[in-house]
Amino acid sequence: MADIRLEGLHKEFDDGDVVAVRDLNLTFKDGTTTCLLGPSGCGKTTLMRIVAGLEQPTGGRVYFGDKDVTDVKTRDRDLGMVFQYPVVYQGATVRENIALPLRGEDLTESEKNDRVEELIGLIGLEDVADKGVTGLDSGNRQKVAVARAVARHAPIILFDEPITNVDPDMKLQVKRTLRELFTRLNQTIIYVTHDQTEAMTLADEIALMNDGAIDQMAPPRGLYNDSASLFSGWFLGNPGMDFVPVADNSEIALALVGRPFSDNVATLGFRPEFVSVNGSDATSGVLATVKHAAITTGGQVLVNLQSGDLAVKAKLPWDTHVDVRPGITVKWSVASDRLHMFDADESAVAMPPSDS
Amino acid sequence: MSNAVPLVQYSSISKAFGDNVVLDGLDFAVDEGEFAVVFGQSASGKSVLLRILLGLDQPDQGTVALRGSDVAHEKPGDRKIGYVPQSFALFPDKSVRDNIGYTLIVQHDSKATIQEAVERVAGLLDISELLDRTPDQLSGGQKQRVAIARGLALATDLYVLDDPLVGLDFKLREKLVDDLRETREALGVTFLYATADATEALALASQVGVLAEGVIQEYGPPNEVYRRPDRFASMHTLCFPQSIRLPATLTDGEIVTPWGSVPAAMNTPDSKQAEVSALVRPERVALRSTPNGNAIEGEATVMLREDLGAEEIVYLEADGHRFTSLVRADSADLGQLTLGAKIQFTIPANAIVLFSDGARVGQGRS
Repeated sequence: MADIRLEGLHKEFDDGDVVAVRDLNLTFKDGTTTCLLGPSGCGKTTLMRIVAGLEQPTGGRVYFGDKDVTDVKTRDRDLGMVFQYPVVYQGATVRENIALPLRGEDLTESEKNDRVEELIGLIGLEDVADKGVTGLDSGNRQKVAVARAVARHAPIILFDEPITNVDPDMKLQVKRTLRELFTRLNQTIIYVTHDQTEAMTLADEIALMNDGAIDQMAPPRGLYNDSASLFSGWFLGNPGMDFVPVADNSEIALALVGRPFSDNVATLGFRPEFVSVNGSDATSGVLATVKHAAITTGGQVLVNLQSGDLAVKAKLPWDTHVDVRPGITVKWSVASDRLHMFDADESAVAMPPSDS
Repeated sequence: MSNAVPLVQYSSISKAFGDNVVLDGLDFAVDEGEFAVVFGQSASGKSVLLRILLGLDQPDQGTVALRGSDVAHEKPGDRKIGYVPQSFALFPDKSVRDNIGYTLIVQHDSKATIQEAVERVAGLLDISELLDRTPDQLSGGQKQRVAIARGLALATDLYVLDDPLVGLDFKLREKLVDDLRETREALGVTFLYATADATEALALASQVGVLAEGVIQEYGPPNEVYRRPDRFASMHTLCFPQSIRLPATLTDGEIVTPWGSVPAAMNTPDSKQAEVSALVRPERVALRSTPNGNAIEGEATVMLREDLGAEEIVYLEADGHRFTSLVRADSADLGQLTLGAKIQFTIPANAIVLFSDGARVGQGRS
């Protein structure tokens, strides 16, 4: 009913000096939560504002279902919106705030009341339902804004970094509320964020943006596991992928792959958590010197390795017994099914099937 | 080495703002050549601690010795400390070059000295090609580098950095963490660095001090402080995700929890009964029922899964208690975890660490 389809969408600012969105074709599927993820300045907010009708594209069309809405005003697009700062009516209670968007709807009073109560339960506002919104903490205020945005059952709901300004100790609760809400709603949701954990946690699909274009679109684990580009491999993960430029490291590349491979492969990539580190007496592996080792997330050990001019990071399990004191020589390796190959255009190429 | 005079020595420092005691008899010494990180949660007094060294705040009691001598009567400008403040403002109408050289220009260094210093630090921080731009032509990360470069431009042996990466997106932090560590190594100087981010503290520090309740709770190599914390504040907060508090009592030498008991190994063998707090690191909470030796086991409901890419944080609730588990994303344990599902969890006895009055007193015996 409400796929959102973008055709050849283009947006320039300052007479073409800044291109925010580049000839972009994209479909947000009906009933799906899609996170627009990317670094600051990648064009994700501009893209959402065009979908909302708050910004006019320089070129291209926007469709909701079969309807071309490119020239339709925001208030006639039938969508709900949640912004970084919650939009609520200060003088009113939580319950009144949620009821307000329903005023003009074709519903009986009891239907409206049912809808409000349902949302209060679903979003977890029972304890504050009769309080004024002014006294609420930032997390509850944003929850009220979310309830208001979804109250009318508009087919499309847009979220612009809704958690960014919520107090740190409230973030988790709001995230959990959104996660539950998104699994229950069958609206089409676009959610803009720069935070990969938020996107990985909340999305059905992630549209990864870079420099005005969609770099890769995939479900969260698919995006993380099957990077379509160097950018995607680098951006996802903390730290991101390790890369081995083949031309400058032909021996290391050959040792990693274990057999000759196509010369259209310009770069090998692998995730730091899949780098195995062993003592220098190991029978195989690439020799390296440990430059630094530090405890990281969950007690894992993040090791900076140096093999000639090549720097590689390895993330070892918390209970590792490998000696990784700085200055020590080790050997590192990566299981061949954890290797990624990229061509000179920085796009992934399929790994050829292994012979063995 | 042990008889060398510390570069910085805080002795019995107290500082209050009205009724709010921020530093409470704090002792802290930083040796030359360290990347010393003061880690503490927000409002723990990190900035005040640094500002007292810089001479920007005065202690109510106690002394600060710098390079072996008391600096109580030395003006901030005479202390020869490079400074990167927490909230920096670049001069919008000055070039990057003049922004970086500002401190040197103010103290009337020669043009040649300033130019050499600016180019040296710009090279270190990889912003040489930006020197003739103005701040409005820079990205957020580039501005942050300029601010760090300005703090490093002063040629000296000690630099104070007050949470310089706060608010930056984390791809940028990932890069700057490596850059900062390498910059200090290249200069061979001492950094005193404050942060509220545990991962950042552990990644940067050669020595880390945990600031809580007005004192440095413990100070040592990050590896050691992490693996064997002596203080409650260190184990609780100097890790990501934070350690979980287990509802537990110590009764007749047993650690008693709602999910069973395990024997305790106490530092003082006769302390079989005490008011204790029990902490467990999230990576020790296994999401399956396969105890190996003494362990507590229970059933929990999955509240939320947060996907970090390489790992997942699983938020659980058991008998009204909330806690977290940290699991590598390739673990088979994650397969069945739908939201709201009931799952078995196991915590091995030796993962449970006991504290009393803030000090480590024992742990579970496996």
